[in-house]
Order: sequence, then C-alpha cells, then structure tokens
Amino acid sequence: MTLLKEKSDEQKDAEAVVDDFRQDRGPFVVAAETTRMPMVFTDAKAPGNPIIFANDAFLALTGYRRDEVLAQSFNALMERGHPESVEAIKAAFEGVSASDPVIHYCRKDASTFWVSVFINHVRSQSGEVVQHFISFIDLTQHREEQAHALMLIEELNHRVKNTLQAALSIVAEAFRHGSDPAAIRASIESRVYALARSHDLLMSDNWEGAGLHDLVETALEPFTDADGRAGRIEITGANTPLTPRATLALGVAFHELAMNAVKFGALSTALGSVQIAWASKATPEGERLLIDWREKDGPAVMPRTRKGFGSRAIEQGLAYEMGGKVHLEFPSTGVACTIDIPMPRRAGHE
Amino acid sequence: MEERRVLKVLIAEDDLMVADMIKSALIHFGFEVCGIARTVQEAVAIARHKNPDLAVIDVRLADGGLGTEIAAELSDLTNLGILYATGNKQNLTAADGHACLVKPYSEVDLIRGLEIVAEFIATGTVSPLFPRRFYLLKTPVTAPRSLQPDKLAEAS
Repeated sequence: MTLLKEKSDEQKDAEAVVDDFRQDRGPFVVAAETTRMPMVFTDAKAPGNPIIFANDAFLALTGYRRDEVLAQSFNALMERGHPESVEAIKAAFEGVSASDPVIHYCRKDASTFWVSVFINHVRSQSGEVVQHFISFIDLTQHREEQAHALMLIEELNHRVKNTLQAALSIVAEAFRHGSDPAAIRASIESRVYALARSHDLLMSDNWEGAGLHDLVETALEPFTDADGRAGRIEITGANTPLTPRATLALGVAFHELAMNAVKFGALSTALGSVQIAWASKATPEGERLLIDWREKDGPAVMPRTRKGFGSRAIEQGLAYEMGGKVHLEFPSTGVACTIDIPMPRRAGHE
Repeated sequence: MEERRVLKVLIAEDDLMVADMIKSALIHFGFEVCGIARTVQEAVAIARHKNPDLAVIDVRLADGGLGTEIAAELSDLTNLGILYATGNKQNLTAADGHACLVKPYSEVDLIRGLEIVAEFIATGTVSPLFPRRFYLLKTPVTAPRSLQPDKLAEAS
C-alpha cells in the first residue's frame, strides 16, 4: 500500500487518536461510521489539513472511495467546489464566519450538490486544536424543493392576477351587453362560478391540468343536477390528461355551450338531449383531439346576430388558445359544435 | 372639427379571457385591434405586418417568452407606443416601453393608459389624470406643471 508509506508522522499520530476513539468509545465510532450524516475528521496540525477519517455517508455523498480521500488534504478536496464555497469553508475554519456555511460542491463525477457544513474543533487538554470534526447535511433536495416552491408561488401570483383581471372583464362584459340588473347579476355569477370550477379542476391535480372526462362532467354539473337533466346528457370518451391551458380553455367552452343549451337549445325543453363524444386521431401533423357536441330533439336555435361572449369564447377562444378549428353550427336538429385541436396531452402521459 | 384618427392597437396576451376583454374594450372605445398575439414571435410578426400605433403587452407570454422581448425586437419602430399590462411591474425599465398598468385594471383605466401613451408619442409630454396602478417607464420631455412638486411649491 503506497498510500500508507506516504503518511507523515503527524498523520499517523492523528490516526492513532481516532483508533484510540475506537478502542475507548467503540459504540460512538461505530455510530460515526454508520450514521447517515456525512462526517470526516482532519488532522489540524498537519499541512493541508489531511483527512484521517471519513464515514460511509461522506463517501456516498461525494462519490469517492475511502482510499481516494484518506490522507488527502481536506482543503484541496474542497477546492473542487465553487470558489465562493471555498472562501466560506476557509472563513469557517478560521472561526470568522458567524454561521455555518452552505456550500455548492462537486462530486467525483462532477455532478453538484448543496450541503450545510458544520466545523468543530477538537482540542487537546492544553487547548490546542488538534483535529477538525466536520459534518455535513445534504441540502440538495431541500434546495430543489425550495426552487419548486418559488416556481409555484410565481405561477400562483400570475394566476391570481389573471383571475382578478378575468373577473373584471366578466363584469365589464355583462354591463356592456345587458341593462336588466337580474340578468347582469346572473351573467356575472355564472361566469365567475365557471372560472372557479376550472380552477378547482386545476387545483385537484396540483395545477397540472385535469382529465378530459372529469372536465366535461364538472363543466356540465351545474346544468345536470337541476331539473332532472342528468339522463339527457351523454358523455363518451377517455379521461385524457390535459395541459393546464387546455383545461381552462375547454372548461370555458363547455360551460358556454351548456349555458347556451339550457337557455335556448336542447336543454331548454323537456325532451332534448346532448351527446358529447371525443376521440384522438393521428394525422401527418401529429395527434389531434376531435370533440363533438351534438344537441338533439330541442327547438330550432337561431344563430345570434351579435357574437356574444359565449360564442366568441368557444369559436375564437379555442382556436386562439389551442391552435385548433371550431365549427359552431345551428341546424334545425339542434346546435352542433365540432372542436378539432392538437392533442393537448400532458408530458409524461402516453 | 377634425375627427381623430382611429389608433391601431396590437395585443400581446396569452390569457384568453384577458385578451378578449382588452379587445372588446378597445373596440368599444373606438380603437382598432390589428391583432392578438400569444407569443413574442406572433407579436413581432403582426407588428411588422400591420404597423400598429400602440401595443398592449403582457410580460409573461405563452412558450415562456417575455413581453419585453417584443419591445426589444421592435425598437426600430420609434412611433410605437408600448403599454405593459401585467401582473408584476418589477424589472420593467425605460428601455422596455412607455408605461405599465398593473393587473387587475379596469377598462377605463386601460383606455386612459393608452391615451397617455399615445399623447407621449405625439407630444413627448403627458397630462393627468393617471389611472390607478399606472406607472410611466419613460420620463416625459416636459412634465406638466401639476406633476412637478417644486413648481407647485414656488407658485404658492
């Protein structure tokens, strides 16, 4: 073992001290070796502060073998980290930093991690620092969680602002097109509830978007519960996981279609029914989602001359948000709406 | 009296409901909407093609783009008035545009904000009143008297 031959007398002495620990306080050394907290001892008196003990957790954290760190200078090992980390470690050794440093360090394989470093000085009876006891807490996962939390907060902030803006636009729109206070209030309430339901759908899946079947059911829920309409609405299709954008856009579209059906279409009479079905289709441009809304046995619906918020939200909205084609037709058999959009499937779902 | 020229406005906003609200408000108050863009690329393309007088731009756009990138790409259009309408006015500077309106804002505040930006482009000055949550990014050439606290102090 060439390594052993290169050891200085000081190192040997320092290792002897650790061996003494093992002899005298066996359980404590076993604990140090087996704990999941990475730990090293260094020889404070030898040049370069060589490592004289490294536990398994330290080797697991850094990716080095024991023989690659033992007798190596701790300071040199630390210099493989980021420059500011090296400075922070130096300051901690000299006792000039007020808090325990958090450093960004490189593993043997050059991947990086964040650790909090605790440096304790081991003193002899005369008070001289003979060893450094250095332990680490791996903060990598914590850092990643922090970054994720920040991203979520930013996303939340964005959505809150846009939601408030949408609420103001709902109010402005209702007043621009109505004069009857009751109708204005009903229009505002119904659209604010629709907005709330879309956000419920997003929330239920950590804002990652909802499933298409869940979305359609939720959007139609306020219209199916009342007046025994449940049996007259038929929903056929898979619960395809959608992107958040598609969840909101389709949520608004289905709400507007349902509201229109209840006011003027198939759900405004006792006999009419609605069939909603969808399927995916492979095309040379990629997978597409084809959604079909078909009303039956209702009164003939006249296309409204003024494009209201509802039909704009359906026709322009979906086309705009999703890059798709929407056809809203008013044949005498009942309203028919076909939606043809690029499959808004979430990443990670096949 | 000469009729005011209809101002052309570009909207860059990735949220459907918000874009729709801006559009209907603009049309209602006599502006012309020359295009709605969801991304930086779409906005730049529309601006090059339609040559708008004003742009209402959200900072956070689809595909991760920033509204400020639109202003940077269109910096040669010196007569384009840029009003940010965004949830967060942090990090916006004079280089990015003329003014900023923080969400949520009302329709009348949006219209007033655009009028101020249009005035800034035409005359280099602005007149009160400012809408709520409205901030100028560029300094007017000559601020109106009422905006200069020291002049007010002298006068009294």
